[in-house]
Amino acid sequence: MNQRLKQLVLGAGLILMLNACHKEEIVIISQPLIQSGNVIKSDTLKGSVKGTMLTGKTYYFNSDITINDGDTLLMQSGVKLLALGDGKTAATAPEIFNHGTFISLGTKDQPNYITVKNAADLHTQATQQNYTNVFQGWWGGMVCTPAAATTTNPAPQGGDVIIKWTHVEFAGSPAGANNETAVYKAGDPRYNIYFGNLKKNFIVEDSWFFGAKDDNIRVVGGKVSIMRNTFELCGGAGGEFVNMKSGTVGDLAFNMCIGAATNSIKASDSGTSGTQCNVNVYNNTIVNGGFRQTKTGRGGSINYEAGARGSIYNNLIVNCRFGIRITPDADVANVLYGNHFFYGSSAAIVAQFYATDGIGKGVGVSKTTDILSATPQQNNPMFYGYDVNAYNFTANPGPITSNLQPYTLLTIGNANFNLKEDVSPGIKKSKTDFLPLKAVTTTGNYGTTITPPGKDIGAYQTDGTGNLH
Amino acid sequence: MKKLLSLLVIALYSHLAFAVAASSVKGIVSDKRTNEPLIGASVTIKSKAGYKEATSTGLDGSFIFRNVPQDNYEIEVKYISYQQTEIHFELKNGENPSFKIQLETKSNSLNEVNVKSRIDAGSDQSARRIEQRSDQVLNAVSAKTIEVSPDITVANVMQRVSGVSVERSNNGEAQYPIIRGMEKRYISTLVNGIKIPSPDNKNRYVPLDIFPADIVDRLEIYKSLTPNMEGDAIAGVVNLVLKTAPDDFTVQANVATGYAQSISANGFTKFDQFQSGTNANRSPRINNGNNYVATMKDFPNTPQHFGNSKAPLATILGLSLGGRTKDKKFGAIGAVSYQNQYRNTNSVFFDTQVNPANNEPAVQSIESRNYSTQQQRTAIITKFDYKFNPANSINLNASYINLTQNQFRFTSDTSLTLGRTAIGNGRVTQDPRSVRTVQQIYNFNLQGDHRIVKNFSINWAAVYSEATANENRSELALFTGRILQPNGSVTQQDVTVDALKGQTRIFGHNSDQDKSGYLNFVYAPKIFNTKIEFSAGGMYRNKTRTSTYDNYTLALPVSNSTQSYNGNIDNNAFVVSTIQGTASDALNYNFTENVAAGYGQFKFTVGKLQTLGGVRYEHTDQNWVSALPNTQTGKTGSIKYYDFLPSLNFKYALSDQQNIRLSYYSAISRPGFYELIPHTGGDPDADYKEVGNPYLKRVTAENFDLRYEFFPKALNQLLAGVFYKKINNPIEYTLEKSGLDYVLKADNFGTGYNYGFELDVTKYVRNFGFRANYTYTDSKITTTKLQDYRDGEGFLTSRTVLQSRPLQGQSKNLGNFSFLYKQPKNGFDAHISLVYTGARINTVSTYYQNDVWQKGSVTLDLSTEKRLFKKIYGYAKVNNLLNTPYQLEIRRPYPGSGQQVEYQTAGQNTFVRKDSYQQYYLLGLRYKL
Repeated sequence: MNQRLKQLVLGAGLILMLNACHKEEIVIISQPLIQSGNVIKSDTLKGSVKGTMLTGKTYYFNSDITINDGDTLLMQSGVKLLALGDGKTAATAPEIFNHGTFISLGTKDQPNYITVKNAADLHTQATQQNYTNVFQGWWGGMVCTPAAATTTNPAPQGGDVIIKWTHVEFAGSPAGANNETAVYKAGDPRYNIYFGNLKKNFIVEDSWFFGAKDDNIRVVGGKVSIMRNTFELCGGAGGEFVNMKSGTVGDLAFNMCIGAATNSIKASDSGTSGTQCNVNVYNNTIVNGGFRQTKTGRGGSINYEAGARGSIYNNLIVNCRFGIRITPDADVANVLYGNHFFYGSSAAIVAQFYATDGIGKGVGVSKTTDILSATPQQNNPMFYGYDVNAYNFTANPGPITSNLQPYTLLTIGNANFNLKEDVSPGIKKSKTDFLPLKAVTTTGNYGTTITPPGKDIGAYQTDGTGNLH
Repeated sequence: MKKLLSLLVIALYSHLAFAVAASSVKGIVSDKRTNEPLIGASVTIKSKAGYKEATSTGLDGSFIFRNVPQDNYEIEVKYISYQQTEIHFELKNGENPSFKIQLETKSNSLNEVNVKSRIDAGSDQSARRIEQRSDQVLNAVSAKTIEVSPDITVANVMQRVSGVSVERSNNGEAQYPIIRGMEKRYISTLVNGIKIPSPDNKNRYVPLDIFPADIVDRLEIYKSLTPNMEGDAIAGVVNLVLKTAPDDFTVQANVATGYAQSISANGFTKFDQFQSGTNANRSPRINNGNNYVATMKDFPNTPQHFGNSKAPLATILGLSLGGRTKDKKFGAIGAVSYQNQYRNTNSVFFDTQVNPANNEPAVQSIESRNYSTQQQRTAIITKFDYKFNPANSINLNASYINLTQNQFRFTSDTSLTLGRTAIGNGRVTQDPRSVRTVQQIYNFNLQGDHRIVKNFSINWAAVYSEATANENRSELALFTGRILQPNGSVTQQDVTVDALKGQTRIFGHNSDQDKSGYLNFVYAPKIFNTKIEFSAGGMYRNKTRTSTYDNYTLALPVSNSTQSYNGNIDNNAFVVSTIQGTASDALNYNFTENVAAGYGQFKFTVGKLQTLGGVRYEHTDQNWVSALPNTQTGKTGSIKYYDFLPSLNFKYALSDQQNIRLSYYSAISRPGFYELIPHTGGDPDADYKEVGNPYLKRVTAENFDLRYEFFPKALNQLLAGVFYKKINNPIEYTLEKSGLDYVLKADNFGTGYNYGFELDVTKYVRNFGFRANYTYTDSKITTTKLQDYRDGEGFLTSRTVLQSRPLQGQSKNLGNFSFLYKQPKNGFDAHISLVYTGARINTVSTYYQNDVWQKGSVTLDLSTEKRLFKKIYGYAKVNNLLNTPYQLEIRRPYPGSGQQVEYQTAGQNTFVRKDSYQQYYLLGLRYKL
């Protein structure tokens, strides 16, 4: 017994002595390499950049460029920024990584361009109804997110993006590994602009967007003011002009949208950020959208999905594959809508002014403030210079390959989407007694100019306000 | 009840006795040295007059001859590796004699070395013996048990062990063990005591379904560790002891065929070869260099060419040959096993999120999945041993194992949010997919045992092993739908090809190489009249893994973006949109891991108490370089740490038949390479995209076990125990948000506790036997979760809350019950086994109280064997007799306000997934010499 006791004591002693020891890991994980930003000195941009691109000059980049956290890259008016590359791989399709502030201050007289070297050629091909190259994707677009956290900078803030009177075109090449996989996984088509920063401002005013391979603008959180822009011909076989997800709050108004592959404007609270997607979409003119989307039942004009809320008023929706779709999983009680003007030149379009799989199904339950008819080709909007019955939508109900769609269906060209004063049914049919959300509060040169709801339905106002293009 | 039964038996006996008025002769055959009963020994009774009857001993070593007339008899008992024994007696009228016959093993000059091979090591009695004699907490399963069980892979066998449940692959085959509610990462797999690398691209842990059951001699499950064992086994260790050379020349052959009930309805879908030519199954980038521009010629349509086979039958072949030279010094054994099986699985899966206003489950889409899986297992093992003299022996072990899987999957995913207006309609995406995976393990090890002087010996091992996996995947993305039209009708839409996704071709390859050396010294001096065994030693392992991964998208050309699909892909035209593959994907990486370990251990017995203890030191040094650009976190990484792992095991022998064990050990679990490398995606089979976590820490745990063991006569046993584990930084998979998606990420979660008790009973009565075990496990961990709600101003938002839950994969209740019947006279065996696996968490949700649970289930398997001719046995096995499905659910009532969906019932738990496998039948012949 004595011996046994000794043994136990010995055992217990051993355990104490040998108390398990698990040494903390010594971990060295390589951190994202950050080059300090170089002030622009030549016309070729490389690596990390900051500073000012001077008025009237042209700048180039042939590899990814980065605006570091805390840095600003500014384009004065009349500047061209050209991406160089064949667009076929991520390495030959440079991208702008904006972790700081980006400002493009074009003006009506001296607009800016962010495009590719062969842009003129691509525009010519488009006029010839050949969009194969247009939709190839020639560069990587601009991704605006806070920088990745590092041990030295654990919470980068990112910055605002302010784009005025600027042409942005032809992004869409497949993404490579330089991208955060939460933004793009390798091989994904890239957008003209990706903005994801809940706390910062995304201002896009009076600008032109053209020829994105997929989505044109995607906003994954941010305070937005998207005013008076023109969106044309985006999405080869799918993609929206402006696609907004959870965390996006603000106004989209007086935009002219023509020839989107899928929707022109889509809002969804997917990716729950804690800030509900809440956008007011008013006084936009949306024409000929949704016919290239190959997915069944998709493609249209304005979509509110999965938890999105906001006010939708005064939009002019002409010959879109589907009209307004508010899906049952949107925050239906908080989606307010009305005063829309729909026009359809075929029976299929007329039948889907309010999409059958959304709330407000069918013509009968639409708002009394809407202008619509159950008969095709009723209520011609009377544009100044555009024939809404020129194209046979009955024979081509979609989905359709882009090259079968005439140039005039997809771009503004010489058309004029102003409403004829006194004769257009849309004149003075707007609801004007609601307020923009005004999520962006700064005004002036580096802020936004929010145009309040206009009297006439659509983007162009007979009083000369609204879309200024 | 028991009394009633014995009364019944007596009644039956007396009835027989009165009927024929002759004697019965019975007895028990046992090993002379160990007193263990010997099962299946052949017993012949004969008289000069020509009376002759033969039988063999039952499950408790007993035999009986009935209706034996009065005469002089000889009983002859034969058993493999034992000396034949005869007894002579005179049977008088009215006598019913009973004999205790003890057999001696064949004399052998290499007595000491041979202790283990004396008894047929694969027999049940040796398995029990090992459990009783072991220094630590252990369960063992013998080859004999495996043979008569319904199992054909090692993974299947595992679920019969107490405290063990299994994780199944999507064809319903058991794949990984879960020991005491702790998943595969906490378990290490050894072959003949040596760790082997895993061919699995995601786990360190070897999938046990790769091993055909008939190559193992014995399966040992260690539930506690000693200092001489590697420390990365918190829950335990599975040791596959492969067959060793028997003393006598032995031939065993086995041929069988099988059929899956699931194939009967629609046949089995096959696809054509991926590519042909050399290196054809590697990616165009790997074969041609990083700058290679792939064209459609690199991607033949063959894997999307499908055919149907009405009723493919399984082929199962096994052959093993072994023996020793006359002087018994040199022994050799070779075993070959081949299995080719076909199965179908049908599955329904709901993609779930939460309602952003109230955090209740919200279903997004319903997906039906149909799998056709062909698995071919090939294993070749050889083992050679040479005994120079009783003090010195070496053995060489070379094995090759291959598991090739061809799997077709067709999914049809109907959106519940878009285009959904009633049951039966909505937008649909369809996805025909074929995947071919080849996993291979090569393992060579040379081991030596040397007794230098009387109480000092050395043993060593040099090991080289390689494990590779190659995966080819071809997936086609299609759209269709049943869409409500404005006039109220529902129309079936054309099936069209997704213009952007088109076809996806994935090429994944990984290869692990382990080079290890082990050296142990054992010194057993007598100190104060007590023999103390000191051992010390160490090991070093250099492990390198290389992984390559390419994902090619074959999209539709912009100029031809609307193509319908009629089932024949040759009618569609594609262009390569990612022309250079994914050279910079993080899954292209090289990983090196060097583990150096040393230990000191002592063992001594004073009185009835055996004490074994000591400490182990393990140093881990990991480095990786991935192909990520240096602008991303984790292109390279280096992780170093060391652990001191003490352990102490007491075994107190209450009597010859009873032990009490108390043990403590400290252990770790290293994260897998796939979990550390900062990749995204890589397993398209996962319900959610998976991402790596380079900051993942190893798990450490302190473990305590108390067990009572009772080994009454024969093979009966009773084991009862309790365990407690304190787990630091347990690794769990959670769903996290990443951009718009949910991703599955491994992370550490504070401190978890795992405790419970086990009960294991085995009892044999002549022709009957039953085994039962039950394990109760409880664990608790508290983590932060998200909760969605609508705030006071009416906006949708979320907050974090704490939630406590059990560890992932831990079932509160686990039970096994198996019933055996053995009729030695005509060589008939039957075995029914039932496994109960209680509910457990399958996936941890990022949302409060939305974890996905696997429902509790009962599976029933049946097998029988019958001697047909002298040495030929026929057998039949039926697996999954009850067609037990695999079911997942969220334990929140499906909201009544939610939409009407098939399978969902308002107020009942939210349905997430159900896989049905149906029954599997096997019919075969076995030959034993």
